Amino acid sequence: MTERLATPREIRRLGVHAVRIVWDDGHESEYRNDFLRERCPCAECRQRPARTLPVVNERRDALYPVQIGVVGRYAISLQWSDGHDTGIYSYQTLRGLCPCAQCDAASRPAAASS
Amino acid sequence: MRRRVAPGRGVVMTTIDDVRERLTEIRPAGLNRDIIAAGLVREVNLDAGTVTIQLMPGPLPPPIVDATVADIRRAVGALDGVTRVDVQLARPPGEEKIALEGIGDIIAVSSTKGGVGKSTVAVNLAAALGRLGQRVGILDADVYGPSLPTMLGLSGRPRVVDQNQVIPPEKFGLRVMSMGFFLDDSSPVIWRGPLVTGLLRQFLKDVQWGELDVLVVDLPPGTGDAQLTVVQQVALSGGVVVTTPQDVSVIDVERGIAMFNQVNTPVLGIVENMSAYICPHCGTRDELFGSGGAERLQRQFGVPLLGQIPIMPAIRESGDAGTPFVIAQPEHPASQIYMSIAEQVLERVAAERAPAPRIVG
Repeated sequence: MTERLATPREIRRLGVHAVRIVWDDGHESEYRNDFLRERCPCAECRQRPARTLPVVNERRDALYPVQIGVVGRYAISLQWSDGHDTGIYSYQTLRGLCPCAQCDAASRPAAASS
Repeated sequence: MRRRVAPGRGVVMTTIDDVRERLTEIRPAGLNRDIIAAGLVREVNLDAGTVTIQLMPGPLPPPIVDATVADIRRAVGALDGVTRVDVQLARPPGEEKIALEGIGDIIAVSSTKGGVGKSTVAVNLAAALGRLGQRVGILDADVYGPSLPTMLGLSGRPRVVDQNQVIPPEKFGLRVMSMGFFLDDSSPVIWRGPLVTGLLRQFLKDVQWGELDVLVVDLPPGTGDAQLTVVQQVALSGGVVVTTPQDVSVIDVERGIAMFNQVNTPVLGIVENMSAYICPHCGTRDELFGSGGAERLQRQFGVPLLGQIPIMPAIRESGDAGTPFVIAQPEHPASQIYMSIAEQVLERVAAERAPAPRIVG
């Protein structure tokens, strides 16, 4: 229960395409921006059917976090280029979202379709 | 409206609106909107031909910031009558995390219910840390029953210096800030809840704490907004959970531990308060509330029991009289327990210290 969660040592924006996190246990996660945005954990986004974007004209693949802030000791907040800034991504969530082949396979071993 | 033509020879006077309009034409690469729409322009000033623009670069990768600044200079510089364009890069407002410069570790003392002596433990822990040579501040975030002013014998309002910076009064070497300094005794308690969030932020930001090794935060009892404000916005080094040996209290503590776990803040340990009654006359120890609750928690959650404080009228009386027990009776065995708790807290904090992530690119 008090087992320590991995925390990011470094969070790096890779141009306007992706965000890379280097964890304190050495693991590296690379998240495409659209992937992160689709999983925005804020209440507003969670409610929205099919996770449509609030601003319909924005191309999702063109969105990128303009600012990354640290929230306490447990999360980061992302301010997106379309102004959306209510998502707080906990380290736990982010680690769970890690799309690398290794984590992906571990998190859903029995998934039939991607 | 936007552009007034001055009399004579069609000289065009540039207004701030003109400048802003020009800025709406600037779209940094990768940004889907112009810099005005994206809220990157904080301020535009126009003074006798000199335009000053405050730009929030936060979002943009550095090369794009440079290009954007160049674009702004070119676009605004082309306006009539503009002789100079000053682009200042503003730091984003500290939304990310309240920056508490000069404060080493922030330790929250919590309890999930009232009446367990949380504030007494907090103030004595602070005093004990001070006796260990730490520079200590204590922040009383308990809006519902701010007790620190009483416990430290402080009254009156703290001094406010320029730019609304509050100087924390100092007592027994502790720098102190409390809601109690500002709240009228007669303010209805119901008003206080909504105050919590705003006031806490102010207490963390607008108080001139100076250089501190440790800031002890006495959280209000419970797991509501006030606690969450603190634990979410401030990089806490750890939390201390105060309990009493009663079973019901132990169940509450689980909640307190869960709260800290949720925000990835290490629980440094549990302090069991009012642990046993030691007769002041004969020294007999009596486990009034039963024993072993905190030990059970330690087994269950792997959270260390930092110490068991006996129930002693003298501890409370000393608080009521405005001197923490640890200072009033430094040699007393109960004070020694506090000293040992303080030592363990420092050790645990050092062990748990995880640097905040570096954000780059």
